[in-house]
Amino acid sequence: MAKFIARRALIAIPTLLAISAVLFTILALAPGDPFGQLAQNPDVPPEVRANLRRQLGIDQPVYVQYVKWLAASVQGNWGYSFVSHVDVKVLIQQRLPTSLLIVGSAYLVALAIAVPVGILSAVRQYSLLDNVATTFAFLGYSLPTFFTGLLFILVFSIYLRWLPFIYTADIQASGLTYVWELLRHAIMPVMVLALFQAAHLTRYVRAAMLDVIHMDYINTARAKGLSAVQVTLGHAFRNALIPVVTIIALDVPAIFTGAIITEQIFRVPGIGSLLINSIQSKDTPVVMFIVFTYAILVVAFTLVADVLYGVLDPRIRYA
Amino acid sequence: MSEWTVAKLAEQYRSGRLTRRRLIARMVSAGLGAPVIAGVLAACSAGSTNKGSGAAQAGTGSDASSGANDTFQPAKRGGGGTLKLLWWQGPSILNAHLSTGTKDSDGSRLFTEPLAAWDPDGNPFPILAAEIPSIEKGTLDKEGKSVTWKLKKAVQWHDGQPFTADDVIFTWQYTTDPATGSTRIANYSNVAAIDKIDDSTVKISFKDPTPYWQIAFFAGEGHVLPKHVLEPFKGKEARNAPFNLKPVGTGPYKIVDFRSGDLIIAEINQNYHVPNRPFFDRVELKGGGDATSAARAVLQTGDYDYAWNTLVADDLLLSMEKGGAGKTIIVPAASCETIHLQMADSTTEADGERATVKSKHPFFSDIKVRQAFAVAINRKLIAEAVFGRQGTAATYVVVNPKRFAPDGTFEYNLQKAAQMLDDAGWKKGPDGIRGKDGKRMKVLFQTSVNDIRQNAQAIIKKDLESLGIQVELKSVNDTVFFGGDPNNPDNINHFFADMQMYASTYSPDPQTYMRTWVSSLEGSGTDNIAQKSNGWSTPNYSRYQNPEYDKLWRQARAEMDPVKRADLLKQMQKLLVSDAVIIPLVNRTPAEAAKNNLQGMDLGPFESRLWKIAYWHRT
Repeated sequence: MAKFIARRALIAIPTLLAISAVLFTILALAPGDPFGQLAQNPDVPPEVRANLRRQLGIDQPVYVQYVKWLAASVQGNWGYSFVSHVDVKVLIQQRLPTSLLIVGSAYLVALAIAVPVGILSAVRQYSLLDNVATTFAFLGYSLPTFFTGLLFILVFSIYLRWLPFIYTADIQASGLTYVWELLRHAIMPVMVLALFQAAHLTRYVRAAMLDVIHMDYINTARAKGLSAVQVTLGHAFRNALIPVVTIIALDVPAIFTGAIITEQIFRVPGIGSLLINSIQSKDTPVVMFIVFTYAILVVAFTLVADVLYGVLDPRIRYA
Repeated sequence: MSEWTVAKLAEQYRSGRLTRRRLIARMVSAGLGAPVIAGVLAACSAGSTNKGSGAAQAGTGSDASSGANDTFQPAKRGGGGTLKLLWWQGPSILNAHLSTGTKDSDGSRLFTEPLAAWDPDGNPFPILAAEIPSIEKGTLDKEGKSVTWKLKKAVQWHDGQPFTADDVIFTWQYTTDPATGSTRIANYSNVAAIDKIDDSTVKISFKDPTPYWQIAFFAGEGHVLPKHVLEPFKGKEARNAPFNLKPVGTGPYKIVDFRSGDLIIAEINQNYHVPNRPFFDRVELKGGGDATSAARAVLQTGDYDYAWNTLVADDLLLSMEKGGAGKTIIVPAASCETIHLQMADSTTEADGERATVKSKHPFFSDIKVRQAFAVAINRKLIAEAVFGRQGTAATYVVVNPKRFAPDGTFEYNLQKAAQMLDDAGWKKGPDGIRGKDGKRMKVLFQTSVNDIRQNAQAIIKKDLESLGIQVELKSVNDTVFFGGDPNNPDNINHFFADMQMYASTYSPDPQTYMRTWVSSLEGSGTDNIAQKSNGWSTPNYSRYQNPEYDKLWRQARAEMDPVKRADLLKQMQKLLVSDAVIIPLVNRTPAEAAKNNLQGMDLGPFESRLWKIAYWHRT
């Protein structure tokens, strides 16, 4: 097992290097620089912009910039933002808790909806419940978050005036009031993301359960006289978990990188909104950190999913 | 090719010859967007009462300077509670000298201050200065070689240290160190030395006579920095200064917390140097999101007190205002949407360069043709239908301050334009396109990708086509269009087209802006014209060459008499317009959103929206 993990980790290194090179090149080739706004200010002559570019080292050829970036980041120095002059790691530290809170709890809510609904849909296939669940799953899956987000704002903030649509991470309260205010601020972005996630997770859980419940050992379990709950949860669901766990493991990296669109709509100060702003202002160190961390997480969690397979399914053994 | 113009259609619609449905169908087929069509319809119904070219547009927004005649005189500091501001681009750094955009200057304005600011009329307003230097007081040199600033006494930094002349001198040293990477370094290029006379007096000496001395330590670009805090962080260390995120200033608010791009929390400075100010105890500035929802949060739900730069279609703003929580404030801007004509030939290559200064444009080299184009553009319709309250039809580029704005009216007359083109020898050919000596009248008209600009382009194209001019429209992504990359031919610098449209902003003194049409700063060369040898970095993109204009510009550069100088700057603009190298289109008057009870903002064209934050209050 340890050997398997070590081998996979080694294979990941060239993959990650290639990813970083491609990302860096694309960013460098995109037009514009962090000083785009200055170009329209007649009081800032072009020499000033040239000096600023020199200070940041972005006047050098792309491969020189890349090698410098790579050498520094291998040593754990991810640089500082071109725009705010803040250390990239500090920027991330400021944003990560919010992203984890919003996107993470959205994922938990999504699981809490998807697992029971998916199981019931499979057990009672083609029942009224299954049809309703399927309809809602397709609806939720085909409505993009920018649509449901705006819809929620229109209904709950503009017409009903129940909820604020501008998220504030800094709530001036303590105790129960704090929890209540946090809930009011977080519920719309969380639900927008959760409904979208729940829709596709439900389909996976249902499909995985359907594969399992027609197996012989389920009939055996039933024949033994086990209760329906015991059969469904203990025998069917545990086996159905295997593909579901893969999906969940592959979704985890996305929790760390936030939700670009939803964060933008509700002004949630998470990693996603940081990423989009950094792309717009050509803030290469920040973009590289976020996107590259995402790549690392994807590689890592693919490995985690493979390892979990072995834990969940005794038939699979790695050598 | 259809022989109609938006104006003709509007005329037919007004006189009842065209149904509303037909009108809309024709405009849709011309590629006009929904807001424009709505605007044309509105302009038609209003047109009967508001004819006459160049008439000022009747804006329904509130008076921008809702502070000029403000009589609020508080008897004590504070007591106003929390002020909630919404900037859809969040400030990313709070050191104004390292900022790359207005959002950062805005954010730092809560904490640090310049010696003086520009009031909405373009007059200096002392902040950290005890008075504005003047020749009468003997603090401004007659020859423009020096200026002496008397500083306000007993001003304290947020940490209790006194503010002195040393801080002013340090700010100059900090900013002009190239390693600091300040974006304001050019503001001091003409400064030879800054000397300390005493603790509260500094004397700035200039290399050349400088009539426009109000650039150093002025307004959003001139914030004074604390020497005792930033001295170790001058030069290469600038980016590591904690000050950049936790500024120590003299301003009305002290920093509590700042998260780059997201949120500024500030609390009242109990030692602020203006008595009984500010009014609000706490300021929260939230960043991010989009302009539309920002406007909604102020105008419709009233969750926030003020939203910056609500770049939203005017009809949408009007419908939000029905929510009743807030109002739109229309603020004049120092920015004119202008069409520039190319004087060189960009279609052929000579000496390995397109549009070289030696080449002549096939038809814009004839002043008659340029003037015909100027008459063929319906600025009034564009202003009303495309910009709504957020723009007024322009005759000249500079409208603020008033002392630099020439008087005059423009003309829109398609028959006259056709006649002028006929007279110039450009007759319509069998295919309906004008030509002369085997050359066809075909223009490439470029601008940046932007709904407003594309709608204006479509209206202009229709009018020009009705005159027998073939028009090709081009729109370029704005980071490319304004990026100035010497290797990219699609930017305004290269101007490889016949017409281009954009807006540039100008300072309270338009001297630098007027440099745009100078061919040579000294002598008689073409050094100020964008070309291959200078990487297209100099501002004369139109390749305009007029010795008379150069003479006026150089005169204005050294003229110390403000009245004579204003006259020169006006003459230059008149020359540009009569020579038709530019066609000013619309003077921008952007919208801001504020709660109904918010007062004292005193917004103007040359200052950050927060320049007078210490005077904001609620009624």
